Amino acid sequence: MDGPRAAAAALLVALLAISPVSLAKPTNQLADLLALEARVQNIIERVSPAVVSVRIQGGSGSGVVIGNEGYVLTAAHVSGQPGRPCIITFPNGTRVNGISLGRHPANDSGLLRITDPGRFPTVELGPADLPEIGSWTLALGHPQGFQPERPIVARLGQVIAARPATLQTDCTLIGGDSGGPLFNLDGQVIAIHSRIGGPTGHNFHAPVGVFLERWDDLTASREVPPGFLGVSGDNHPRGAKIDHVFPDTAADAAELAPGDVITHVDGQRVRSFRELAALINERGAGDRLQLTALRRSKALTHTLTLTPRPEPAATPQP
Amino acid sequence: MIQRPNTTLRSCLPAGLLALTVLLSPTALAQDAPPTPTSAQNPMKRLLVEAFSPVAAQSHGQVAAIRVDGHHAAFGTVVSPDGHILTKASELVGDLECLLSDGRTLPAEVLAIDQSTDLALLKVQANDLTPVSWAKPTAHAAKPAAPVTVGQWVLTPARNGVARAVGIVSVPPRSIAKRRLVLGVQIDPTSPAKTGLLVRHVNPAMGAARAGIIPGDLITHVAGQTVRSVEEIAQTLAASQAGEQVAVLLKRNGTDLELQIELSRLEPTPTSRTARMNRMGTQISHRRDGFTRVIQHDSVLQPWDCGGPLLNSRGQAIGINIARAGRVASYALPADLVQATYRAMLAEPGPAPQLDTARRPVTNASPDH
Repeated sequence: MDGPRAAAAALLVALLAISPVSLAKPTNQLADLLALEARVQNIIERVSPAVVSVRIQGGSGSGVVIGNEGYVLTAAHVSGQPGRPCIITFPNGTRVNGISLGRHPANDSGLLRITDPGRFPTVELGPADLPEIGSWTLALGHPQGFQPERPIVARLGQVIAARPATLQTDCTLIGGDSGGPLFNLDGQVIAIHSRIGGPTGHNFHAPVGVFLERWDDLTASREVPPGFLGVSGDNHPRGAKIDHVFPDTAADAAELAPGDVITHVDGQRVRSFRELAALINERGAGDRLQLTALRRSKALTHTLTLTPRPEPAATPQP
Repeated sequence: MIQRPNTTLRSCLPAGLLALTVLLSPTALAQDAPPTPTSAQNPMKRLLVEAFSPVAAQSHGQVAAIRVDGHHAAFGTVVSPDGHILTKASELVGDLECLLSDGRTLPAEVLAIDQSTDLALLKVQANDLTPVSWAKPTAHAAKPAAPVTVGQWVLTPARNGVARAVGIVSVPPRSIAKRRLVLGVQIDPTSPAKTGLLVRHVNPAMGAARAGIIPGDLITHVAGQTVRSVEEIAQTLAASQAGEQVAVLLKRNGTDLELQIELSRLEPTPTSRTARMNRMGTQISHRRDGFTRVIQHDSVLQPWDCGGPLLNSRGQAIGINIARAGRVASYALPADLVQATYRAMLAEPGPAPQLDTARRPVTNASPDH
């Protein structure tokens, strides 16, 4: 992993280049921020009614209602196995029954459905494309669980890093926020809160793209098994070098070979074997991905479909 | 690049699984590293702080740095030209000095302490100070007393008029209940009260363990009162503050023993996952509950950033930061409550205020600009 200084420098460059509400613009930057204030207040008021608390099998998390069929987006580690009953509480105190549908534990996306009749407040889904680094984001949820005397808790931040199945922002999160929504400044859900690291800038969310990608599995109450590429290997100055390809795996089918150096997964740069593992480990079996690998200095693009992880006997490699 | 996966966020999971999650996580284990300034943790926040510098600069002269025995302990909010400064009372232990924005360092005297808000009124010898300018209640008829809206920007200026942190209001003003105070022992419920309350388990993270209480001890008196049940211990401690020492009389192998035990607040489980997560990337204030009204905001503060004003985007004070409450929450007392408390302190100077004496030493060495 790169040093924090290098990462910080990279972030600053990215921010100057593409930030939509540019903090770096030398003129009237404060005016931009002041304009943002009214917009944020308006969004919080508009979307909060659809942000729910979820109680399921002794645990509690957050979620958000989308569409008219009573679907609630949440985290896979909140929804748990398909078919569990749950209680969903709206900010106005309304409690309804629900059931857990499908989930994708590898990227922590999960789906619930309200089973009681009625019409409920909803929010709009944002685009499946990853947001730009520096984009403003608004995190809502129930940190440390639902507290009747406390309304939804709002936190504002920016996208620090993004990869296909994970967004990182500086909207601070804690236990109980899991499954809660991350909004863009158009008031659309762009991700669901998942996990945190030590520093206050280490807050991770599952982007809506991963929900949409496996929507049929989620609505059909299927559990998406983690995907398996089928290689072992090591770091290489240009990416992740393959030492071994396991037979009857996605890598085998795509004719990857020992000595190949994987440089990109779905356009995302791979700088070490660990980064490759991180990217593969948050995908599911059946996911298609594009992989660029160097063979004798020539870049070849492979399209492959991840297989389920074979039974325990095999070596646990991505 | 995104960091390694970490700690998941559901509020409750089977204990074995939790231990595993956190143990597997190198970032979570790094939490005891010395605190890093927010700006160093996150370049985005640094840009935000820079953008707001003209607003924060309006507070120049209104914020003091409070030093305890020569170390920065808190910020202070200047409330009168003739030397009145409000700050966070529970951070003060020892010799006080105020470092003013013009570089003067003046000794400070404590005029009053209000336990309900944790505010202390300090006096320094000066008559040329610039008091903070309080936000006026909005003309909005529906909420005349609340110039605070969820989602509005909030700034925490340091002594030099540079923002220490920028955030938004997360939750409108509400009360924060006081958690129960405990010694940190588990009493065997079957123990006969006549011989004393039998200690079955001692929580290693709390005062009882540090004072040397061990399983098998029989507690007979707490703070001079005979105790015959866990409820009676709780009643005896009801008026105390966390961090205070109480005398506990006990019998060990037939011998009487008196120990001084520091009181802790009851956490869901003191070394719980929630408690641990709350300290991830931040330290939290010792006194952080039992407030009648606070504004919750998402500015990443450290405990020693409290005591100074919380500004809106026009540079007016909407309150005083009073606690770092956890990873996602900082608390500020709303301006009207601060002003009412200040008026009450002036009206009834009362007996010489007692600073909490039983406190941990001030350990941080944070820059106090």
